[in-house]
Amino acid sequence: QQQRVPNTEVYLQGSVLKPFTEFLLTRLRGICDSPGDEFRDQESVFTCAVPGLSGTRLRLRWSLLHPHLPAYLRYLGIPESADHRVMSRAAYEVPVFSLDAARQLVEAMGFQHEFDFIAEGTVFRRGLLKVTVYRVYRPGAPASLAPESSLVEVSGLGPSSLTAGMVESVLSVRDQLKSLVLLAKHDQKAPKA
Amino acid sequence: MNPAGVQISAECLPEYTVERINPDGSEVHEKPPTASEAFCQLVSKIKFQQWDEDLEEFVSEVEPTIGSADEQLDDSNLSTGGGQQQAASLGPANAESASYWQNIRLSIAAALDETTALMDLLIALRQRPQALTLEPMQRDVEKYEQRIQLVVQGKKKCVQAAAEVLEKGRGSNQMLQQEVIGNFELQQIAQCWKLRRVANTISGDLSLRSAGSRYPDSGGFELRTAKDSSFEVLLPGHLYGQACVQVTLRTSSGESLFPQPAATELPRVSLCNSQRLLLAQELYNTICCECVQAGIRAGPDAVELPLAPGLCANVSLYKVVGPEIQQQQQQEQSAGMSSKPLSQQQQQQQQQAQRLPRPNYLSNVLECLLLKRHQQARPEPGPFPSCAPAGLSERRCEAGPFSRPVPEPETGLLDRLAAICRHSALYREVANLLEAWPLAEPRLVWHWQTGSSTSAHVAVEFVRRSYDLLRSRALISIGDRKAVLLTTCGQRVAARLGDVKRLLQPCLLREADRHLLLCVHSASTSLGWHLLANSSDPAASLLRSPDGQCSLLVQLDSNRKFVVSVNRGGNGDKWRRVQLDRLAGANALEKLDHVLAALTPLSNA
Repeated sequence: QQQRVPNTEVYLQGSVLKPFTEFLLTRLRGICDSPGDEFRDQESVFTCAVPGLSGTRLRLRWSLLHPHLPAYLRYLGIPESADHRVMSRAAYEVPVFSLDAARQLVEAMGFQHEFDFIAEGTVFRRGLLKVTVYRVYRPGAPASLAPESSLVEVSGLGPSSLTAGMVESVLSVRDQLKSLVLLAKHDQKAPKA
Repeated sequence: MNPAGVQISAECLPEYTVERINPDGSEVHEKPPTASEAFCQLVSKIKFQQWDEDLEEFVSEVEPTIGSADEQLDDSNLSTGGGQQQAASLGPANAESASYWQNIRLSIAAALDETTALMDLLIALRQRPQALTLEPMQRDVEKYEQRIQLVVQGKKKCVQAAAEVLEKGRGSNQMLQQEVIGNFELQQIAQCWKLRRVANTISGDLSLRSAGSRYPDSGGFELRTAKDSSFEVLLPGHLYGQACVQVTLRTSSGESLFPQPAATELPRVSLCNSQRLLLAQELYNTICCECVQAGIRAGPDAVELPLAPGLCANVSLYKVVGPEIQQQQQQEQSAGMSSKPLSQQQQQQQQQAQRLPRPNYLSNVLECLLLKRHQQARPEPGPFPSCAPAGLSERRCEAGPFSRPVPEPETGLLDRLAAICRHSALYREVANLLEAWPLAEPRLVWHWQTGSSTSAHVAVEFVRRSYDLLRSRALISIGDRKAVLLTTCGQRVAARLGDVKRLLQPCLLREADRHLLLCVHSASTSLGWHLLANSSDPAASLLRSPDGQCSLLVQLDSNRKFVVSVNRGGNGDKWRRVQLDRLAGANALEKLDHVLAALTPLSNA
């Protein structure tokens, strides 16, 4: 049986204010291969209820604009800081073609549904990298959780052999966007209530 | 009191004396003297020459003792250690008392001085009030004016400094505004075109690579800052202009199937037109490459494509670039600036200037074909959802409902163009056929339905001019190779390019005859007549009256005119022709209606 090797995701995150979002999109159209595609995805997050694995999360994400395309069931590992310049983490992704079946499977595995959110924005491609500029909404809520700003994320997903190249590419994009948005490593710990 | 006439001028000193003036205009004043200081100054000016008798007596009594002590003290002071010796000679007690009295004497003398001065002042006030007159203050005019001028100059300097600050701010604000304007222009250009900063320059991209084009020309331009902080665009020479590709269809006789529009446009220089120039060059180059592969000779500006016998398409590249456009622009500018009307020579020059033809339908179709080819070469959109991998996913290689669809085999641009041109020519032939319908009765009504650039349909109906719900239909399907006529009776006729009129028109005429006969059948049936026989070629119908006593033969001759014959009494040999010309009625069918009505027995009416 062929063992599936996890991919490594290298990423940097930042935010941009609403008045400057258009400038950022214009610049991204110039430096990326694709002219930018609008997306609207919904993601369900499941937490493991089994004791001992309570911190494990599975994410099921599907496109609301293209429901005929497969959804993706993802596991994202703990962010590592092997390279001090970028964030990296292990990422498993599996395409699924039936949302109901995927939910049933995940719940049968002992996971409980934790929360849902909707991400809406624009995605650009630059080789193997993806640059997304998006906002996060609660399902059913008209306003974004941060109405005056958008999240910016530059990420690359690939096998570990390509990690070094992807790191350089991410840093190159970061430098090109430096005047508009500050992409940096962020602490992934949840804020205390 | 000795009226020696001591003049005391009680002058009113200025309130504040200005010591200096600071650059900011503030004045530093000298501290005015206190009252006692001022009084001492006054007293020091007074000469006391007259003493009072009492005061003299007192003084004469006191003075010897004081004077001797003073002399002794003075002498002792003069000689070294003499004063102390004298004081010592006087005895220690006497020395102390001498110094004690000296101090008292000095204090009393000071008090005497002050009191005397005050007494003199009071006497002067009482006896000679005129002596104590306030002399007019002698204002030092020059000094006062100087002081005023100093103040004014100081304030001028302050205002000047403030003005310089404001001027600097205005200048920097203007520069900032120009910079903002320049940045705004740059932002507007960046919204429409891809810009990159290379070293100290800003370069742009006119090519359609982001849309999938693989043309080797980079299509780059530069942005340069002008003197007024705005941006000017520098285009390469071969992109400075405008161009378009024109496609024309001509028959072997030289007739143009699509007449050229009369108006032509003058070329303009802009980024959009430069991009269109690049697209036109790529389009023409693509067509030339395919012509070479197909063995067709291609020129630098025009290519002739044989489509069918007697029909060829001409693809031409019209281009106006470089100094010709500059010359035309200069002429336009000079003509626009001068208020005088253009002279004849200038008008001729303007007419002779190269103009570009307006693109026609086939030119637009060609551009759309090229852009569609670019779109096919463009990377796929997505990824959807956004968390999916950016590269090719393994699923795409698999079969199933979500696998990547098998791409259609690429057809060359030339083949597509040829197909569209043939279809357009067939379309034009069918349209001419329908528009040139020779018959007045029945009329022909048609409705077009265009499916794509290589397929179209037209539904044809035969109708009478009078009120009649009876309609006959036929359908003509036009492809890129042939036009097919399909009738309701199942007849199917196909015609290629050039044979449309020859093959389809007789069929349509036969359909028209059939429709006329159908109208006759309908009218006769409503009156109770029976149809005995029917023929389509030649078109004829045999009818029998309801009572069976009368037979009617309706025929259509070669000129499409009705020939009606009647046979009464059931005798098959004796047929009498009906003269329809003598009957009243707008057309032959109405006259036939009258004939049928006349021959129908009343019992069946």
